[in-house]
Amino acid sequence: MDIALLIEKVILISVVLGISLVTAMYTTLAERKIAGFLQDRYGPNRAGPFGILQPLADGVKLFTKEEIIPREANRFLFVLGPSLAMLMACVGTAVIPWGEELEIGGRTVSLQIADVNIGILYIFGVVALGVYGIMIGGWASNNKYSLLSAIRAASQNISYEISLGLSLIALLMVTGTLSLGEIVEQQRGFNWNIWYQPLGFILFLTCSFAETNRNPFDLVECETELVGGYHTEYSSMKLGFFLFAEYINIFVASAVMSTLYFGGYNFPGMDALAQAGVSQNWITLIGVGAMFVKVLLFIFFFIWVRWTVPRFRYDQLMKLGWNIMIPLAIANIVITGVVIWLTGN
Amino acid sequence: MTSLIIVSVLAVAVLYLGLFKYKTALLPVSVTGLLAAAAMAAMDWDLEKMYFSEMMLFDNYAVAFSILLILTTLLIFGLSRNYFEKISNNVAEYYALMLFALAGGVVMVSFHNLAMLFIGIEILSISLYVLAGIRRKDPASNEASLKYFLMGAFATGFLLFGTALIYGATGSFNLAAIASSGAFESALFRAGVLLMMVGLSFKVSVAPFHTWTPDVYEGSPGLIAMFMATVVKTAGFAAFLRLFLMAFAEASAFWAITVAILCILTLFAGNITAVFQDRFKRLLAWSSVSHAGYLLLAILAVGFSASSAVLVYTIAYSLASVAAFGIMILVSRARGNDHLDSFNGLARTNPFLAFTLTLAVCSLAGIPLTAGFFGKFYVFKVALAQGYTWLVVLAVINAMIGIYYYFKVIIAMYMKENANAVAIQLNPGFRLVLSIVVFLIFLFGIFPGLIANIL
Amino acid sequence: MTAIFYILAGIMLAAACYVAVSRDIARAVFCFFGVLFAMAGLYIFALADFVAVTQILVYAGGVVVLMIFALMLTDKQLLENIRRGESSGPRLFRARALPSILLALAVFAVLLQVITAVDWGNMAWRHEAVAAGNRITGHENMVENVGVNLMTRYLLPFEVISVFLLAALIGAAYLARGRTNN
Repeated sequence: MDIALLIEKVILISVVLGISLVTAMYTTLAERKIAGFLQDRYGPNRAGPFGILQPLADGVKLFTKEEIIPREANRFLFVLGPSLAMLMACVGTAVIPWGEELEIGGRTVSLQIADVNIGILYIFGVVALGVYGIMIGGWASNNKYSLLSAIRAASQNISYEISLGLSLIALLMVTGTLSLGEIVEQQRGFNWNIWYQPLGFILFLTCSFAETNRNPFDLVECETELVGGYHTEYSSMKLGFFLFAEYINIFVASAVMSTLYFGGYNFPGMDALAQAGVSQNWITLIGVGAMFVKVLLFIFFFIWVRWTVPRFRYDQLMKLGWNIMIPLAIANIVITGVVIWLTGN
Repeated sequence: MTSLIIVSVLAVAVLYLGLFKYKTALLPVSVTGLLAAAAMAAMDWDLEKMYFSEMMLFDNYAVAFSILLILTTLLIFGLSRNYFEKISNNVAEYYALMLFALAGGVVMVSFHNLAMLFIGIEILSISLYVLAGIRRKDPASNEASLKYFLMGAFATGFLLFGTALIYGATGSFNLAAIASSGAFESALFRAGVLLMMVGLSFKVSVAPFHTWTPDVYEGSPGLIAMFMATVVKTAGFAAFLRLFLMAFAEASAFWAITVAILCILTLFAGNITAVFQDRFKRLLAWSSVSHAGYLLLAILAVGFSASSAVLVYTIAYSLASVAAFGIMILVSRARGNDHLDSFNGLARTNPFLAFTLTLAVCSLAGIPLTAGFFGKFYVFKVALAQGYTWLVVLAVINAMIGIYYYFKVIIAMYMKENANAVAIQLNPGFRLVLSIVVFLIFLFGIFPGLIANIL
Repeated sequence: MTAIFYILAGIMLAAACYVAVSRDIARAVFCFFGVLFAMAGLYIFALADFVAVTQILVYAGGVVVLMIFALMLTDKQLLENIRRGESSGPRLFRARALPSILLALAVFAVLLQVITAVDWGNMAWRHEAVAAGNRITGHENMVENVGVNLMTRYLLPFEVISVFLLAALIGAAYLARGRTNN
């Protein structure tokens, strides 16, 4: 094992982790700001200019609150729940290519932590495990609302995982590879997968909302029915972890969607820039910028939907998942297959 | 291969019929489909065709057993008119699941690759786990289903473990490649054979892995128990023999003694316990354990005479079981239970049923002039040819014990009286199937050459 | 590298032992999760990354979730009563458990015999495969390998499994169907 590579990867991991945490942090602020905007009010504006210190204030508040563990709760699992939620939210970033290669002092640095050739399956696996935090936390609380929420989370997650996987299969038929690095390479310039897989993208987007438990599919924390849902019994930073994990999940889901369907770090005119003699490092940096613009747009979309679309009823959610999403996803696979067969590649 | 496809597609077609509520069409469609499947299987005779990179081999062995399985299922379907309707409104599922199980059985008798063996067994088993529990409101049926499922899953573990070890020893799942690998001395191979033997023994209820059998047979609906006793047992033994014949024959010195011990255990466990049963269904369950013992005798004698003996035995056993279970269903439906006393006076009220049942149990016991006699005869013959005289002596002792408990039901029917017994009504399906069975038992009992020289 | 193997195997064994002896179903299920995860690690160790991820997807992401699901729907008091009823007497060695212990020991003896008796590095088919270049070095695209094999040599099992899954699906749907329309 090459020491330089090790150092490089450690730095990259820290940077990516740092960026995802900071993004998630400010997503909380953005959520409240945008909510304020959409509802024609200010939103938080006391802590710092425009309220930009609000996330810090929230963090300090959560850390200093009293920590309560219910007497009848399973202590070990009660603590394990939020930890798992946080862990599973963070590990998803490992396979996402954030940019092309950088040349630093004659050394080529890849801006992807791990280019495993089963990247998509890895993401899929992380999504599948994502529900554990909620399930364990909800079950260990020994509270009927938490339990109901955990059961909802489990069945919702499993139901939507199917159409998520099926919509990915159609994408894989187009790309012919499971490696996220290669998938992004193929979308060079403006040759994005969204042009080939519009239906697949819509399905994937819908499933992402369900998998991250965001409105309109946030039945898991439906306060009109379940008090606080799975985190009813949680307080202090453990509650913070649960809430924070949701925002990291949004960040990761946005990054995955940008990578799979919107070309990742590719942007129109990148080849023209290269021909004009702009150095590769600059193109890479612009690419990273493009990636983040896409990610931020998706995050905005998540928030926008939350404050405009009402919550589904649980039976509607299940009906949508099983009766509409899965048949559509299968139809998408068939259509993709027919088109590939007709065009002969 | 075509027959396998027909059976699988037939199952799906039956499901669609159920979906569109064509309940009356279920039986005719299934019967026609099965006849077509049997005909297509017969067309493969003597062709020795390999399919899909040697995954399946439709040699005469496979064809003969496929046809046997399909025809047995046909007989069972003949009895099933108005049977499942009494259990539930959703009848199509039973036909579909039985057809799926049959498809699994066809795979099991024609595999040429351990992967196919595994899949075949699993298709058969998973359908049966559900079929055993189709009386959802009946705790006994639920217990049967759960017990069968747990035991079956456990057995599958052994089977897979054995398969993996054999792959480790030989580097192939292909039966021919395993047979020619020459790795028979390695401990890996031997452990693999042993574990596969345990797994298969579970599935065909060979002692000491038979403990699930009586409870599952008793809890399952009668027709399903009949299906287990006939189709499943036949498919299981055909697979067992095929595996040991085509892949492990060279290593027979190693596993023969184990099979011999299993054989003795099974014979004694099945027959002696059967003596103490006073319910006919449990008696039949235990007798099915004992029949597994006789069939093991044939496996000891690897060679084509063994396949022939197993074929004759399974034909005889399937025919007799169809009749015995069928009459058990009728009697327990009419008299409330399947206690041996319920059979009292049957000879006076229903002479045809009493005669059929007598013939069936005589065939099960191996009395001359019935097919069962020649089943036992050929099995003993091949075992003797291999020099297992001591084993055959023990088996004959067991056959005599068998005659004792089988005659209990005959005595009940003919010697004991039941004052308030009324005649049992037969529907045409039962009458037809039982007549066919009676005819065939006699036919094969008098002209055994018709089936003895097929293979 | 060998150390990693032993760590993974150790985790797996410890977790598996806990699953076998534990009276607390909840903990047993979570330990089972640990077993599956360590198992996935071992698959990666055997250069089967596709199998490893599939293992996590199917077992950790699907099967264990369903187990926990069942656990959540089970009456907690009932579990508590079962545990209390069982915990009297020594934990491992009860007369009732004797057959299972014997069976486990028998299987263990067979496997131990295999492990000690086999010359693992020297099997004929391994030499043939190495000589023919038919082996994995860790740089292949395993997904492609699996896909090509499923669609060529193992096409028939692949297709027949659909019959199996259909049968299982129908069975499950039948058993789980609501009781009202029956």
